[in-house]
Amino acid sequence: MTQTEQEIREVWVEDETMRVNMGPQHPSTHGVLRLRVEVDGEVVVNVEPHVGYLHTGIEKQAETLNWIQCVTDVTRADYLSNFFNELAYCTAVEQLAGVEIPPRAQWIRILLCEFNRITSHLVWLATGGLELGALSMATYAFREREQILDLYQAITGVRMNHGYFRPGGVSMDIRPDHCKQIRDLLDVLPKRFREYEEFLSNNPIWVRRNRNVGVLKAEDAIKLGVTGPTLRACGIPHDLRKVSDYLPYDKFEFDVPIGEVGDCYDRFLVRMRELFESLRIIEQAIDGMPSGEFRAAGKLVPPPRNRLPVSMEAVIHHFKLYTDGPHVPAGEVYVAVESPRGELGYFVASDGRGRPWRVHIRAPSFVNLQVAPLVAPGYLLADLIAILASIDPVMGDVDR
Amino acid sequence: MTSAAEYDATLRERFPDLAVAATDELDMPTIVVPGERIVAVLEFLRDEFGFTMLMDLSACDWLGREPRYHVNYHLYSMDSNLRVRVKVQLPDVPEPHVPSAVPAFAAADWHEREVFDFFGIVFDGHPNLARILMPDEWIGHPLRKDYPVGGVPVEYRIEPAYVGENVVPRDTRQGGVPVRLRSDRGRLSHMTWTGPPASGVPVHKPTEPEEISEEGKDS
Repeated sequence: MTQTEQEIREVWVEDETMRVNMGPQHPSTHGVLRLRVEVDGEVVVNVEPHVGYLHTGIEKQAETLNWIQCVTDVTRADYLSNFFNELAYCTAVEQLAGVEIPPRAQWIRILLCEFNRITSHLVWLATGGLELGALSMATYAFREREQILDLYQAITGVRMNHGYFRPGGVSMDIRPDHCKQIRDLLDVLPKRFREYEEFLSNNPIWVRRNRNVGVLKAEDAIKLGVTGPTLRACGIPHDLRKVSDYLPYDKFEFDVPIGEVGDCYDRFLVRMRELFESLRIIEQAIDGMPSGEFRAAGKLVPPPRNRLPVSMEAVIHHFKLYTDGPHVPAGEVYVAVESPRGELGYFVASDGRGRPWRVHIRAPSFVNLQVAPLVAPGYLLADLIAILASIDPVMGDVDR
Repeated sequence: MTSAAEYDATLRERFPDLAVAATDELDMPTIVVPGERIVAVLEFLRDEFGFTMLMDLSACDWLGREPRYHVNYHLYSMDSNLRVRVKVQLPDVPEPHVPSAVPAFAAADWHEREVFDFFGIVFDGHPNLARILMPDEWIGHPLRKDYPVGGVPVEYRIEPAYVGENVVPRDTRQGGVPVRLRSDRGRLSHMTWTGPPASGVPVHKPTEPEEISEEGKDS
């Protein structure tokens, strides 16, 4: 071996770390996420997420739509938790306009949001299981998700991207047959979820892939602004449903599950228990569903259909609402709700006209994804998949 | 410590040379701070008031007003469940500058990249101020109000051979989108469409290879 060859070996082969591109078209990166991973053999040295492959300009688009149309735009941001996007946006508009929504609308919103938390967590369970080799989890979890999507279809008309929450309430009332459908689901779901928990939480392969992998310390989580199940897995019982009043969650009884270590397994357990807590809330919501109006009166919502043939004023109101949009008083407001991934915040600014001046989405996935470069180094490349799955980023939410 | 008056008094006492103004807004107290001392104010709020989390950092372009750009820092205190908005107002210049908040809050990293990407606001001292959501080679900052919606040229081209002699010059009124792209539905769908082409579209005639390279130049 010549001198040069030896030098090359020393510099380029012996100490070499390799750069691997994961994604953007990779089945285990949760959509179109590209990771530039630096590996030393099998061990991750550095992770650099590159995002933006799913950027669709939702915030820019929102500025061209009126306040009601905007709902159908923002609901597409996080396509797995549509109701939360609508909820945060509508709450922000209602705060700007000073509108209080009636109790029935609040209860319907809680009901659907908790169902949405379940469907979102089920997708996490399905894809997370798929990525770590628990293939049958994908078929099981999607089966239950299908049933709940059928319920969405019955209530809102569509399975995803509903546009159902509107500023001032919801677009349609729920009917008694929906309640029956929900009760049928409530009979089935707890049994199934217990099955899944047994299926995974004591599965030796699952435990070994997740235990003590991707440990996130609580102080790091706070520094990075991490919220949601990822934060609660670190042992911090922070849940906006308990401390915030965007919906009357104080009338409901539920627990906030927390973890101890902050590893992937804790994140799995926290989300798994949240499924049951959401079921508890749904049960209470359907039992205590108040009667009355499903949307507020006033200029933010259309007039009742039966007023249109008899009242000129109602016709004018209807026409103005669907052409120009409701005029929302000028101001800025930031509203945060607890989405399945953490704090979903909407910063909405109005200049007093029929269109939002600015809609900014504080996406929980976007913030939580910053955790990956922090926790992944030192673990195996295969563990990176487990870490990503446990953070549960949705690229539609990250890129907006 | 909840009302804006208290933030106002404390901040004025701590930063006597700074023009700080705190008001109670619709949702939370809002503190307007001059850009150059933003990091010190954020650190002060973090250490004195317990605002340990930077929840959101965004910007808003108030085109037509002065100052034009508002950068909003939304802080959250988990212990007292309080929120506060810190606002920096920046003038209407092509490249506004504000110090990076990363030394005070690590969470600001990606948020500042996003604001830079969409508004062209430069955060001095940011460790890696690159575009984050738009492609690296993108020109312009899309969320500025003077950036048009739909003014982006279409990025695909038709096979030169397929255009034939029907190459139409670019129509500048349409934001640089070639006119032919709007009228060539029939030709684009030649893979699946077997019926007559859309109205106004001439039937495609095969061309000679040397002609293809000639037309490929200006299409």
